[in-house]
Amino acid sequence: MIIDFHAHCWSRDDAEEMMAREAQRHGIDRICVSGLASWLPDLDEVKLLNDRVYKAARDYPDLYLPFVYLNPLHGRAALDELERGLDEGAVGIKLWISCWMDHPAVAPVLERAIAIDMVVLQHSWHKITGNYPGESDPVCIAEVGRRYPELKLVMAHVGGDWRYGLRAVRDVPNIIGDTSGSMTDNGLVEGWVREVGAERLIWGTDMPGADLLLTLSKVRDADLSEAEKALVLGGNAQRLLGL
Amino acid sequence: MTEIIDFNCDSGPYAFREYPQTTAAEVAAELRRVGVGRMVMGSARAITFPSPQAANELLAEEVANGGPDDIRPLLAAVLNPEYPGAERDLQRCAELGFRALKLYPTYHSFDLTSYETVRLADVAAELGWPVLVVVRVEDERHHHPLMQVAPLPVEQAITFARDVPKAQVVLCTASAPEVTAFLQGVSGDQATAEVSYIKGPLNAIEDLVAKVGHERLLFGSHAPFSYAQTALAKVREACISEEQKAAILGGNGARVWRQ
Repeated sequence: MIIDFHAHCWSRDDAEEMMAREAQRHGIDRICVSGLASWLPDLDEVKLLNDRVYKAARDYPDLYLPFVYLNPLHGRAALDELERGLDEGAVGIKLWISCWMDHPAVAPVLERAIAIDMVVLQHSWHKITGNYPGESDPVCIAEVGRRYPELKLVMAHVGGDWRYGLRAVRDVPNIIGDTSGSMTDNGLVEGWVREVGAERLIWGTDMPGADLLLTLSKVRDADLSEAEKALVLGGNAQRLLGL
Repeated sequence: MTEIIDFNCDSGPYAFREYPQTTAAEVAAELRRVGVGRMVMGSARAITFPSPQAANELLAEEVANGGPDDIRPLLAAVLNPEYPGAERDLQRCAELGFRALKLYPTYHSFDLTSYETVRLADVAAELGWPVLVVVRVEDERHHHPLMQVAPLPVEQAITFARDVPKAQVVLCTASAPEVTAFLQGVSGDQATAEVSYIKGPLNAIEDLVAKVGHERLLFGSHAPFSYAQTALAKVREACISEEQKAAILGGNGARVWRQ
């Protein structure tokens, strides 16, 4: 089973249809989707984005796996939105750049995620040009992973600069890197698997902003064993999501 | 079957990172493994040499002595047109067998529209060499902190191409918006762009072909910095016609490759 762990309903009105068409063309079985828009969304925006994701999952029940997108700075309301997500069938939590992951406001969300055994997908990038104000660096992700060893935590984009991201989380076994995004650095996939094992790398696209073929090829055509590829392309996602 | 021509690859150690392939033989072998038939290869060393000619000489020596056995790359001379003796270096490269000029304006900090640059490009054009203009080497977010280099503004590449109408100008390592702006800004077959840095949106190649056509797009891998197989997959498996794929992968390149 091939599972895209990181895609979004955003940037275009027909994203859901387009991604479904491409998934069929390229043999993708399931797609984890979440909403994204402004960097610091208010509660109404978050609800609107999540509603779109839940509708996608209803329209394509065999394809989309909905993640509930949260802005932890909303406090109690963020937890309420998480509960609404559970009622709507959300299978994961998506955190973006509203605040760093080690912000105190995130802790209740993480504790609830642990309680219900739900995976958290956290955006992360290390930028020499400077991160956005609430954009989590891999070092911050590592700290959170150490603080919550029971948390199922996926660090998106392998931290952007994969060498930096890998060094940051290497010794934190509950953190898995996701390959989504524009990075095509030669050696990324093999380097990550060599250092921490195929069980700690998961395939994602970041569609519709990124090209599916580009993101798929860097794992499908990597210098890995077939067993390792199977883990990265779907096995690890199945394990995390309990599929 | 169309021979695949790669217009953007390099060999040799790069100052800031290690990659799985380093030597010309290793890069050529990797490209051959994924199906590339011919390649335009520059020196990665030259990118950070203030006087890149020394790196060109090293590349020529490497290829001549124990370089790729079954595939001879077409060597691209990396030069800084504003460095003293650049035209003499170009002539020396011609003697050494180089057959293309590769420019990194933001890395060598020269003006792409200066008299010296246009002059050097004209000389290259007289030799029948394509002129490769590189927008970037790495994602700007991941540069070494001591060497943060901005991408080349595409307007400069447009002005440059208009200033050297006899030269075949190939824009390299440019994003989809940059390629689109360049090809829309310069009319005619003189301007082409390789697709190694086309990374989005979904259906990126199909989207780009819809905007600028397929006739002026070339294949580039940006090996060894990027995965060669990934560059190929996004063209080979794109939702465009087989004729368009063949043109991008090699047909268009064969027209540019005048050797």
